[in-house]
Amino acid sequence: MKVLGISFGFHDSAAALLVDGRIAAAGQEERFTRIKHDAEFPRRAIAFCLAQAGVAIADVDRIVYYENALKKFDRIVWATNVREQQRANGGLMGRARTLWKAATSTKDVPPYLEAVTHSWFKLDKFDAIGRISSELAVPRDKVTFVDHHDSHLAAAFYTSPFDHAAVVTMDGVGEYETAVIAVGRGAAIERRLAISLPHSIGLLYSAFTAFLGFEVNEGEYKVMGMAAFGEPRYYDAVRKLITLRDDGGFEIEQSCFEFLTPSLLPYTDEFLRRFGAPREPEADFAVQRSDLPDNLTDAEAAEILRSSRHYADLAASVQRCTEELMLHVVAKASAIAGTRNVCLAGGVALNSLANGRLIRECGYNLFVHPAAGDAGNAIGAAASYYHRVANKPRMQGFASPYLGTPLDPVDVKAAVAVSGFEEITTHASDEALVEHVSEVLAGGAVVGWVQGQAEWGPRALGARSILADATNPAMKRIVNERVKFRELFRPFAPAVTAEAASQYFDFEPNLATGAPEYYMLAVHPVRAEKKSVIPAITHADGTARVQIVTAASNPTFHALLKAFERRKGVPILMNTSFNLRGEPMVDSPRDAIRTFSISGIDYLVLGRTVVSSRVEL
Amino acid sequence: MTDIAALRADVHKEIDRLIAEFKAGGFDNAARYLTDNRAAVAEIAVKARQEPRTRELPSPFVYSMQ
Ligand SMILES: [Fe+2]
Repeated sequence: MKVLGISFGFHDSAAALLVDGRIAAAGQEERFTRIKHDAEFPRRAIAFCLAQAGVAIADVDRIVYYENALKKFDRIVWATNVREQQRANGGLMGRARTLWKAATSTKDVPPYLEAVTHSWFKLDKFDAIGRISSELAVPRDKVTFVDHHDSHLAAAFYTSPFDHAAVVTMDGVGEYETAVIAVGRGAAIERRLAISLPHSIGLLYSAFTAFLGFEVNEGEYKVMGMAAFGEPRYYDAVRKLITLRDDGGFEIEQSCFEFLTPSLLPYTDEFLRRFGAPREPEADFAVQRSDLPDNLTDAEAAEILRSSRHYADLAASVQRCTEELMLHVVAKASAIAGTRNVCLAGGVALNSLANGRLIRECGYNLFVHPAAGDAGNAIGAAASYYHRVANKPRMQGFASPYLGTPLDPVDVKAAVAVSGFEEITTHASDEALVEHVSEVLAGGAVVGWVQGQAEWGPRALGARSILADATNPAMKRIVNERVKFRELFRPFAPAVTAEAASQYFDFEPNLATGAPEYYMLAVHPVRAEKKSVIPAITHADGTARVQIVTAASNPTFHALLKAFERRKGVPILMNTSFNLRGEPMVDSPRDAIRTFSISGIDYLVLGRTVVSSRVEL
Repeated sequence: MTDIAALRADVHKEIDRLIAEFKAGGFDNAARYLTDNRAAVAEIAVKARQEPRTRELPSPFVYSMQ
């Protein structure tokens, strides 16, 4: 049976093809269109999945959309309804108005609802099924949908290695739901508890993300990064916003947030009264005088240091509270399910600091779907349909995150030939390749590393990566200046051979397939005595978002780490995604060459071909 | 029929279909909204359908919920 899962229209569009219970291919639209977070209909991702599996659209048995559009619109009406009622009762600022009197002019529809209705008609969001049917020229009855959190649940459990697990989803919001606790067993997922709007930990985190001057759905990582520079001084104030319920659920105090009918900002005046003025986007951030330009006066510098500290403390506080909430929900889920196996999905599951604590402090066997956000719902939608509607036996778990575009040697040759860059050599073997690349890395070079099929999910895992020497204290600055242009508070992550991981990092890697560290989804402390050994990847709070690599999970990358170890004594490389700031990760050799040509990367490795940044004249 | 009249007729047909679908799905909030505000919604839809299908995002936060 062939099931195509699709997500689009809201966040990152994606497609995934399930063939007889095996994920044949999966891809995110942004990688093909080169538009970051592209939410358009995933034409190219679908075309890729079909081509990769050698399947024609006519041979696909079912196409499954990842959420219930009608239910989502019902929620939008409901939310407006609640707000209008509150206004009518004088509970909120704004003029009172009669609710739902029959409107003869658009003025009688509340502005929020008018705006949403307008955009839903304009973008044809009501009829996702019809849209898919006409885009793909397939009969309407071939297309169906599953609920948003059912997609997340399926992405979390069915792709995990567990036969029995607690399954927890947490995100901003799907249709109505924002979090679900369920029990997974074999091919069945049984829901036990759901939390609905307006209570949402994802939206709370996003509200602080916006307050701290970052883009929602993108800057959440920056909040995590910034938290490392602060102390949770505002813990009590943030914690007061959250009630943890005995049944594993939670409630969010609403006076500080606008989660029902947000117009521009997700927080209220009450929020500002409690937490002060929001941080300006791109505002200077510094933790010491030397981070700042010399031409600032002492008073100016002191003010930047003070405000940086303040916002970092807020980030640390919201991060601490989010971790506490996640630990609370997961503890209850684990107790309900009667197992320490835990599967997570939903955007909140990308909180790698919380994931690290779930592993280290709580000892769960954790699986996090690598594309935990809505892109992952392409796989989730297909998987949910396959098991729960088609009643098929349990699909194969997630064997590899490398489900995207393969590297075609013919494309490599063509792209290099027209690039004008000097091809140093194409190695005959991986052994020769890793010797060569480890040599230039040990010499201080920054390397673009493109191998095999592209990653599924937001992290570069050694298929579309930029690599550099983690032992070089200047490397963070070098990579930032030459290609990434990241804020000071964003750490760079390490890739380490799994066998050496516990020598450098304070955790015991679970080598079973699917451990979050394979997907760079958990943060762990760097061992105290190793911090000075790997300064480029040790964050301000002494932690790192570790990727473990085995000879089975990624043989060439593993061999490279071993070769680097022979030269530098450390089987660790700085591993950051191969893209310029604000762009999606490179996908094809052409994308890689383009990024290479406008950045300060020293060498580009495409399969076994090594290209120098010298231009051939 | 003028283009706009044809568009309006299409939109009304679509709203009928949506009301039926919302009712069938048990989505009473949406069904009631479309029923009670039919004329206004039709005007919103006619206006929306005359615009190019480009997406302008109110803010990432708002967008993520709609
Ligand atoms: Fe979601």
